[in-house]
This record gives sequence, C-alpha cells and structure tokens, in this order.
Amino acid sequence: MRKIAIIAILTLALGGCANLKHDWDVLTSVQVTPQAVSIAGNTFDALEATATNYLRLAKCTGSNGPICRDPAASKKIITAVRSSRVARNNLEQFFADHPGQLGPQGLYDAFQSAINTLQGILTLTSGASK
Amino acid sequence: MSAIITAVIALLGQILPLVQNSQQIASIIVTLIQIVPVLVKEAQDLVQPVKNIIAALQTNAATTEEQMATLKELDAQVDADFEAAATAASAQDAQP
Repeated sequence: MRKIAIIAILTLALGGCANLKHDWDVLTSVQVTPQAVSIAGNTFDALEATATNYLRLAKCTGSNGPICRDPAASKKIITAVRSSRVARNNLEQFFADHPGQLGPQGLYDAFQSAINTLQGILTLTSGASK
Repeated sequence: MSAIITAVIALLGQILPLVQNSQQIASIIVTLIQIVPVLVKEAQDLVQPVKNIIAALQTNAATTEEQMATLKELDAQVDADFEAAATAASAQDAQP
C-alpha cells in the first residue's frame, strides 16, 4: 500500500508539469542540454537493467508460468536494447567531444524514440516480469 | 512492483525535460528521494540511475563532466550485465 501511495504522489507531482510543455517546445526547437541527456541516459540504463532481469528469468515452457520469459519477447527486447544503446552512445559521444556545448535535437529525439519503444515492449512483458 | 517503478522512471525521463520551473524541479527531486528507499528494497538495479537523475536535476542545466563520467560507468556496467543475460537467454532459446 505504501508503494502504491508513493507512485500516486509521483504521478500527482508530475501532473503540474504539463503546462510548461510549450516553453520547452520553444527551447528544444534549437538544441538540448547535457542535463537532459544525463537524465535520458540514466532512464535508459534503468530500463536496460529491468530488461536484464527479464532475460534472467527461466524460459516459458507452458507449465512454469506466470513468472517466466517469453522467447519471442526476449528477441524484441534484445533488439530494442541494442538499438537504443547505439542512440545513447551517439548522444553521449557528442557531449564527450563537445564539452560545455548544447547537443543536436535530432540525436536526442532518436534516443527518446528508442527509449519509448523499449518501454513499450517492457510494458507488454511486465505481466511475466513483475 | 519493479515493472511499475520502471514505468514511472521512464515517464519521468519523458517529462523532466519539460520542466523549467525551479519549484517543480525541487518537488520532483523530493519525490525521487522518497522513492529511493523503496527501490533499495524492491529494485536495487534502479537505485543508481535514480540517484544519478537526482544529481543531474540538482545541478540545474550545468551537468558536470563528472556526472557524464559516472553515467558512462553505469552504461558499461548495465551493458555488460545485459549482454551476459542476452547471451544466456539466446542459448537457452536455441535449445529445443
């Protein structure tokens, strides 16, 4: 119950942020900050750690569920993580090569898109990995 | 529970860049700090990424080179763990 309450509080805290989207859209039409990249990178690492835990589950055999690993989902996860990792590395490499500068929006968008794809796959498999 | 927390963190990753108001950022930092003890119990793997996000938020827009270096270390660790798990899972799936 305490955990559910924490999630609920977090959701409420985030609700007030939506009205700031316009300002952000204006800002991000140019470039992204290292801070945004750091947050996105850590978000991806959290998702990758969750994906790792899923892959460590025993393969589903039809009789060992519900906590087991679907081979078809595993393939999708492996592909999505490796694809996202390329986007992450490209973005982080830019900031390593250009310290103190803002980054290109295109690289950031590609990374966020990859994160969203991975998150979608993990959500579909969460019934087995929770 | 781990899946829910991961979903929330992913949601945070999408929403945090939208926040420009310092009070909103402070509120989110407080919320994240409150989540950490739950992560320690339920999802140890997520503790470091959340701590890194908190650190990034606390520096305003000026993420330090040290934070990027910390992120690179975490990248290497989770990548290695994932590849080991992916290799084992693929080998298991290849068996009839």
